[in-house]
Amino acid sequence: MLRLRDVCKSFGTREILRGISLEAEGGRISCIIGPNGSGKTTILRIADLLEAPDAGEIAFNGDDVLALGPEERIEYRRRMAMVFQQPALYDLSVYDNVAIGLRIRGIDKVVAGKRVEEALKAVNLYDLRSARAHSLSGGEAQRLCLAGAMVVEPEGLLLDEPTANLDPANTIIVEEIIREYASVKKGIVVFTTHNMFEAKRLADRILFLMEGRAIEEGDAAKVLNNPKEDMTARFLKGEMVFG
Amino acid sequence: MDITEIFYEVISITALSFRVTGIAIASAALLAIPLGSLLGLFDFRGKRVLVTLINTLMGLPPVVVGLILYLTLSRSGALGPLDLLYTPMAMIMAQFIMAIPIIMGLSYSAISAVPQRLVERTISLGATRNQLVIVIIREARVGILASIVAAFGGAISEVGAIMLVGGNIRYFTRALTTAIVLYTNMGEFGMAIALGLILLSTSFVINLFLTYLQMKDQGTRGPKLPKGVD
Repeated sequence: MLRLRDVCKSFGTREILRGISLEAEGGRISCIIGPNGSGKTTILRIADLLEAPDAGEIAFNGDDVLALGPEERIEYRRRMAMVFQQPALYDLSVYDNVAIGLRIRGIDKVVAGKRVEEALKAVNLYDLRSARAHSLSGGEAQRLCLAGAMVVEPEGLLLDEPTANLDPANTIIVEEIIREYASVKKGIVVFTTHNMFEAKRLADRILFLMEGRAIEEGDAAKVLNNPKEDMTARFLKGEMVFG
Repeated sequence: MDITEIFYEVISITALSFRVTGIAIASAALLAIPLGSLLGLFDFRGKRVLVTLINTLMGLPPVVVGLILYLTLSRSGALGPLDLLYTPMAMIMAQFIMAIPIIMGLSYSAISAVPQRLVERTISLGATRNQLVIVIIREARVGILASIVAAFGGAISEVGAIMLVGGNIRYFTRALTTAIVLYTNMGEFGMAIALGLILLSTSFVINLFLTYLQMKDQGTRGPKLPKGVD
């Protein structure tokens, strides 16, 4: 289980997160929903130890993640996998872009080869395995990054707007991969979105975020169908809820 | 000079040029690539001043390098006792000094151009510090190789510094460029043109090889103008 408690983060004088708590357990899909600039990405970055929180706690399977030493932090990151909103591709082939996470973990080349091929097939990129990653379209690049995250068989998956660049057909593929990862592999999934339809399709739990504040948190069906907070209801109706 | 002697001299001049430049660039690369990479990878106090200094030194006039090295290697200079003046080693030292800021500055630029999000993705994948450095340098490999190409081109065609510290001694320190100057001054334009063609063609072959390495498996890079658009 990944648990964040009372996490605060500011950049300069700008408060990004104001006491956010989140619990994500294996086999369930947690969704952080909110408008642009609400702090969704920062939560994932903090959970992946790419940013240090100003205050708060992070626990993974009961261990205090923020108290880990440098080598243990690397081990923690190897148990998690993050997919960034903007695809970050290495100047290598499609195959090597997926294989890099396994190489970093020192996994045997033959075993790695099979896993990479499976991951590429799962995201429909196997035929492009020899192409340069930089020649891919935005949607292909996004799927490639997802394959790169899935191939390491992480215990937790942090996905920052994983379908933002995808067309409907590819969105279905990616959502199916996420769903299967949670239901079959019982992995922890935390994903961000500003798309309430996607949240409805995927999420078991929802955290609604606005200007760094948790407005509402709970079971997805309850939050989406009967929001307690007026602000959540307005956001779900598509109304402007800024300010 | 009979034809055998001319042939022997041309071979000797060409071989010396490429031996001196090859050793100078290889040793400069061994030092400057790690230094340029460190400069790109870490922030520290005075970095901006150091980068400005390196950028300035990239345009260092060869003849000034030659003069300073000449004074250092001459009998009364700090390295006078080593007796290196008018030797191929002095020529290597001159080209080495000129190549360092070029390779370091361009390697630094190449490393700096690696996108931050790629660095973060690599950290997120659980890379150790050393693995991260290797990934970043590999991402910057095209730019780093370009720095070697640039330094090689500058060094092989340089004349002022190696003339001063090498002395243009026949069969010993006479390089292609210094020989061209000499034969032009002597009015032997045929020999000067022949050596010029050798310099151009051999440089072309070496650059062809370096450029092949640079573009291997990635085609031509950079922005392309769309086809069929006026």
